[in-house]
Amino acid sequence: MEKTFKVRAHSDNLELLQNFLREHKLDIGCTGGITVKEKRYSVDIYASEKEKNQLQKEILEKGLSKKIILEISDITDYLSDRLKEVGTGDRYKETKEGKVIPRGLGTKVNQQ
Amino acid sequence: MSYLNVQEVESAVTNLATANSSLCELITLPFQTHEGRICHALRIGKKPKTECDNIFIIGGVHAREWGSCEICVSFAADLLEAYVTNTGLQYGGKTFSNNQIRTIIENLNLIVFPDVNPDGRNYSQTSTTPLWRKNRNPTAGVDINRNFDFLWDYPNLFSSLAQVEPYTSKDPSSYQYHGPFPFSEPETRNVLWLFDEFPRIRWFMDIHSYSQLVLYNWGDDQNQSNNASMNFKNSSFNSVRGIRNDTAYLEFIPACDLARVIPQANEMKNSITSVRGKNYIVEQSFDLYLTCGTSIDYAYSRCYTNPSKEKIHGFTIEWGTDFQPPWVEMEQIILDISSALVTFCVQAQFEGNVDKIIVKILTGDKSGASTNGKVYLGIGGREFRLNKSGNQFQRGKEDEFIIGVGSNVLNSNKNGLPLNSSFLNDSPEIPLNTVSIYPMYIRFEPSNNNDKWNVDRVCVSVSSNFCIPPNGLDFHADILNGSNDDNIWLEKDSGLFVGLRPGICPT
Repeated sequence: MEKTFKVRAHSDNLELLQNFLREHKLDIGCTGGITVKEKRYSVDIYASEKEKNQLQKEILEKGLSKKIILEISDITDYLSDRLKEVGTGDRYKETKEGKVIPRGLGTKVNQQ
Repeated sequence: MSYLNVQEVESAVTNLATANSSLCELITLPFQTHEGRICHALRIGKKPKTECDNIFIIGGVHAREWGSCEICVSFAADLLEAYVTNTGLQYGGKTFSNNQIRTIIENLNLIVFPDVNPDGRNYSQTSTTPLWRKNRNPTAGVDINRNFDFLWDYPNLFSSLAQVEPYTSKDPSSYQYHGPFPFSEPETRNVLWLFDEFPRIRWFMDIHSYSQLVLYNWGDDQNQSNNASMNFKNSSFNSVRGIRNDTAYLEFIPACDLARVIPQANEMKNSITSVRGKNYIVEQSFDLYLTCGTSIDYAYSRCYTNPSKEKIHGFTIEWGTDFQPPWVEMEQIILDISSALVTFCVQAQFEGNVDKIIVKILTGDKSGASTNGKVYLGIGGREFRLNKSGNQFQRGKEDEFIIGVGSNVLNSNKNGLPLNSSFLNDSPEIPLNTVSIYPMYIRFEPSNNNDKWNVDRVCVSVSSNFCIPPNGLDFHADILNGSNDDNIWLEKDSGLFVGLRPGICPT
């Protein structure tokens, strides 16, 4: 399992954050875009260890460490736990009793 | 239960179709994925696909958003089981009646395609890269939801200042790579094939994660409803499209469509909240970030690119706050989103109904033109009495009768549906499509054998919150439109009907 990080980047400067995202090939698809709370702009980024290190290095080199704050969480174990929750085999495979029909999670109620 | 692997999604779809063969059709998609997988979708509904409106729901476009497939499978299984057992459905605090489920299955067709991108899902679930997003094109993975043919060629169609990148990219190594050309990928072509195969698709839902959002069109710029020529097809705006908070370009969406989709999205949001209190936000897709090549914008753009195609309103739900929540939380999210999807379908049944009819009749300015007789409008295979308080059909006077929303006719409660939804009020019980099927006419019933009525002009305007067709539904009595004095007398001896035909009433 590759080391994977969730990086939440914060900045008070929207343009700076937008340019930062534009200049890097970052995994930001469907992570909610840039949100703003109390004039602070934030975005979720997913990154490998190499990508995370590169981000940290560039922010330091460009003197942005006080302008773009990276909040980093190692989610490797979390993702590993999720992979354990994926079915193995085929729970709907036909058995001697016949086909196994999926059931939805909604409660069936008699509601006229 | 736990997350389904790719084989299990396939088996689930197949088994649902087999077990409900009178209600379901298993659809084999024509394009094999790069890794050779054959995909399947379900068509659910009692009526043949051409005899009713269709709703199209897809999931699993982005590989890592695992729960989207489970939402589709659970939703389909719930509807089928509830219909077969004649029950309703409950999701937490939200309940749907037996009758609501029954009418969905009997009045609509649902096309459910749970796993658009099985190669990607399989890679996400079995490799060391569970956050894989794209398909498994061996040259370079493609973001399927950037590969649709809507403003796909963004370097030439947007302002250079627009923030298209990094949310869409022409760089094959990008996580949001849009592919070498529109519909380059088998996964996208399978979705396209379903749009074409089911020409009566009117609603489309693409299920994604995350952010707890319900999104509606458009994604390329902020919406406007005042300038129809400022639209995605107009190349004169290519250099200015996509910049936030400017007025050089705003994407056109008819006001009546906005009036339709925003309440519809809010109904879904409210339905989600009813389950366990989650607060989803309704917003235009562009408000999240600028996109091009997405499924919902392609769906909605089809009728503008080719007017012979049905208008399809597209929505995206971005469920949850994580791509892969713990399964115990995912189960709750499935309930949230299933509730929204059932609401989506319940609303769709009303969408096809006329909700307002305005009839304007000018009585001729001639001696003896007035009448105390009864006048009826024939429309959609039934009649409505045109009768309101006070005198009407008087010499030289025009009367306006409103049936449905804002009704001014007497006994209107006998015309309307006993709706328990706040969605439409006093809707005449006429499916919109029947307006063009049955003849429309004015029928006169004289008060006595000598009663006669002189008619100068008849105009009828039919409207629906869904506002289709795009040009509205207007009818008039063509026979009365000549420049000469072409009034006609309706009486027992000469005839009692005036036929109406489509077209805007002449002034």
